[in-house]
Amino acid sequence: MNMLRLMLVCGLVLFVFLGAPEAQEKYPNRLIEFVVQSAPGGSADVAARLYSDDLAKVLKVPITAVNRAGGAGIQGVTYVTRAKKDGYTLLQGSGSSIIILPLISKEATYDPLKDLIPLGHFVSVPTVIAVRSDSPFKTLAELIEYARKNPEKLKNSTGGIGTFSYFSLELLCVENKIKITTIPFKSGGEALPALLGGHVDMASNTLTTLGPQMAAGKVRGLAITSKKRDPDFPNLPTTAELGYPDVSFSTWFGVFAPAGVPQTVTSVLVPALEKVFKDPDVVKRAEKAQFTVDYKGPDEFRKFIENEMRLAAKVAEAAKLTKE
Amino acid sequence: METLQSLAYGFSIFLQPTNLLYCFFGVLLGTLVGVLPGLGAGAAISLLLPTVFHAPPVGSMIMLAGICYGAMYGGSTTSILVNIPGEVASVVSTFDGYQMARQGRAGPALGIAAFGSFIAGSFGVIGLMLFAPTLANFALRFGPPEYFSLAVMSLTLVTYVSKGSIIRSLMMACTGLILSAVGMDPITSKTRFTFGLSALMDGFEIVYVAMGLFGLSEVLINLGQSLKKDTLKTKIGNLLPTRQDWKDSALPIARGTVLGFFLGILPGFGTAITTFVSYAVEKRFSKHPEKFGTGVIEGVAGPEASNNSASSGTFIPLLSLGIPVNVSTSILLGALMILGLQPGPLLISSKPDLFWGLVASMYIGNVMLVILNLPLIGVWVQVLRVPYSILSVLIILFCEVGAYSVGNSVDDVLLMNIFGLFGYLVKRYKFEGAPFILALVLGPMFENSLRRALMMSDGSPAIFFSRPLSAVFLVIALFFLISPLFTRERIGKKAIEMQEE
Amino acid sequence: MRELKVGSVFLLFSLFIIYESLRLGLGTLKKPGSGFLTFCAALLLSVFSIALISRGWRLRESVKPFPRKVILALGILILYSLFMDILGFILSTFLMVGIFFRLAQKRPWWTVAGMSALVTFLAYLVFGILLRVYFPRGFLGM
Repeated sequence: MNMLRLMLVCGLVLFVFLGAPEAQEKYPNRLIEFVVQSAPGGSADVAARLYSDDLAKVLKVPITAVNRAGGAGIQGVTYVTRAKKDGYTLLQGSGSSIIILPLISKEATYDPLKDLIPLGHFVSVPTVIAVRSDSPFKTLAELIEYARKNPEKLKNSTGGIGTFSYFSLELLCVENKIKITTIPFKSGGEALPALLGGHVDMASNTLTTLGPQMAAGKVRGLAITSKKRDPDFPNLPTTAELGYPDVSFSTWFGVFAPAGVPQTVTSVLVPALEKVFKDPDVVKRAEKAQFTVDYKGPDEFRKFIENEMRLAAKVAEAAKLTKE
Repeated sequence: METLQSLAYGFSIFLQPTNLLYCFFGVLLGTLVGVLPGLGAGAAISLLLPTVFHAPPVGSMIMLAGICYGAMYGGSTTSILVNIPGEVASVVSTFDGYQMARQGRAGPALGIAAFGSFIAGSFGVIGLMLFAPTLANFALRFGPPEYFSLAVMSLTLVTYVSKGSIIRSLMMACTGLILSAVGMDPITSKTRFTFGLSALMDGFEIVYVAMGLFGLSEVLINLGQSLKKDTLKTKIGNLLPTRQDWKDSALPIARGTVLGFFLGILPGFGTAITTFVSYAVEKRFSKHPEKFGTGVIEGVAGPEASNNSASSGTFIPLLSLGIPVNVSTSILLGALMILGLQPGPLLISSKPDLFWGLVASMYIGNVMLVILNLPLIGVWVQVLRVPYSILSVLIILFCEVGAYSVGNSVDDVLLMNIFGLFGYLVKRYKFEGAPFILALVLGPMFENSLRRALMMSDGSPAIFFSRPLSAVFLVIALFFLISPLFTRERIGKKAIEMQEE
Repeated sequence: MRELKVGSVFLLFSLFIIYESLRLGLGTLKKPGSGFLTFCAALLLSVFSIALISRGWRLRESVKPFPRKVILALGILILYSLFMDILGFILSTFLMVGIFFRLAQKRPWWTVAGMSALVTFLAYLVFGILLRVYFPRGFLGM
């Protein structure tokens, strides 16, 4: 008798789960899977959690940030491009997986502009070229001069070949026709001890990673790739000032939907994202986490991506980075 | 004196009711997450990240930190009871811990694990408090050449973690090294050995490999042997460690604490390798090394202590320099950023309330954990009373769901099952999983630091010897290799004799 | 006989890896390539495999047959992982757990169904709801 009762309870429970039909009405009306391209704690993850709850409040549905970190972000993008085009699977895309990886990795079989719809650009993190504070190089020009006289002697640490911090340096090398040996690490955070411990001569890394070290005086920044000088580091010249306006790659994050999602969905998402990304609370949180908020709407975002793709392709070709 | 004053200041911050609650909640969740295989502290912390927006910064950090070291307590539970490592750092505890459980000594094993963790964790916090900046700067002196030498040293321990035939262990180690290369090569950012399968794009995640190799295979072995139900029911002895247990565990705990602490401060080294090193060290210095693997308490005491002191150690680079050492500390770094606490070298001086409050919370957190875990031993041991016909299925489910939760990927579940098959074959043909896992864990560090070091030196292998730290570790590795050529034969022969009995 | 079989398997494996590593490129000392480590490890492995085979040549042992239950269990598990996406977590777990309960001990089907429903529900509660793990939804949407 006891068993039977247990069975009935369980049957009821199952029935509750089974019997919840979904009405295909207004979008959104159920949980959205928000794919984040890094493992928990990575910068993409941090960025996403800055606003995912606020977005959920605006859209009035729960949003689950799901980490799909495979292949430096490739798996996350692929998952979204193959998902149902109903708007319930969205991607927070990082610049490196959208722009750089399709150039150098044969696993990245997606076309960033054809397979994805850019909905809103959130934040960017500029690249900083830096040396330790006890290094003999006081300006970028000095470093480049040394590199010209001693090809392949300088050692640079970076967070991976597929990152914008690396591409910034490579573009710099291409434009100056110098050779610097780059030692790649798995992430920006892993590349930092190499610089601090004196195992490499310089680093091309994000502002997020190098900023605190610069503030503490352990590291000297030589150039930053943002358009304007960073207010925290007024003495750090931009690459544009130093004569390299093209070296403007920043790591960025934005939200995408798979191509083929209907207009009824995007017309809801775009203004919601705009609202969230311009929300003063979200902006404040992002700035505290060392992200520069720079909202771009879908059209501006698309143009931005096209531009970056061209530049990146140029760098990849010059540095002989290919898909195979 | 100044330190004591600062500590008192820290306690004054910590002993407010809200912070106490945060700490308790953190360690509780950490224990739970540590017990559940698959999900790690990392996942739990990122789950709670949204809540820290609306919570006081110091309290939030206390809670998140509690999850980190709390997980190190819980991980050994399933390792000992059912041979499933709850965390990567608990893999080693399965070797002797599970054997102890099968002999009815699950209680003492869990007890020593808890106490060892407490002692090690507390000493680790003392170390953190006194030596944080010095140690952090010391840790910076480890670059690719030093990591390579450390990896070499750790790899030479392969022969120590194995019980039987040396050739088989070496073959397992080679296979582990090869399989560690599957996935994306961090240096060229290209994938290798994936054969187009997206499931393999990131290589094998140690967590589910260990679950399949040890946990699942054990169930399969038991399924395959049609034993009478009686023999499958494990005995349950007394719950607490005996006086002899304490005597035996004292030195291992001490050694494990020191070892774990110093290895834990090294970015990228990982608590898992630390436990392997501790196990090998214990075996090396034991008076009865051939008994390791059959259920000796030293094999549990040392590693469990080391993973807790390592956990305290991981906070040192995080708080002194803003450098994350592993996944959990990476997330903590992110949390610090979100909370506007500006991690970096200036953290301790600009935010003393955070640092000292955290230190104070870690002392009490460890106390809370040991108080929490000890009575739970009685509960956990009851799990063994569940008839194996039900328990085995639950174990299987645990493994399957745990494997999924690692990366939200069904592919991982499939891979884990395949490793379960592999583990079954390993056991069937009298190979061992331990050298394989060790090599799999060490492979990336071994290979990548070798390549990076050679890139640094423009191709010259002299770099490994010209740098003092690196040379030291290579010499130690040589010592490990050569010195027991006499004792190794002894261990090997005795073990084979015992197996043939 | 055992060691012969096992040794040969490893030997074949290591030869395959050697081939793949060479294809990936060993690189130079200045910039070691992707295949470097695996080449060395596979080379070592092939040497050990040959040693094992030669040892197995001398001793001949009898082999125990492969238990049917183990093959069945593995088959179910592999099917489970393959079908989880299609059937969804809840349904596939319910089925898998049910079959295993029955396999472990011959109980009436009703009991098995009840037990596995309960277990599935608990697993979903702890992992899916408490820990917010996102499980795949099958064609039934659950």
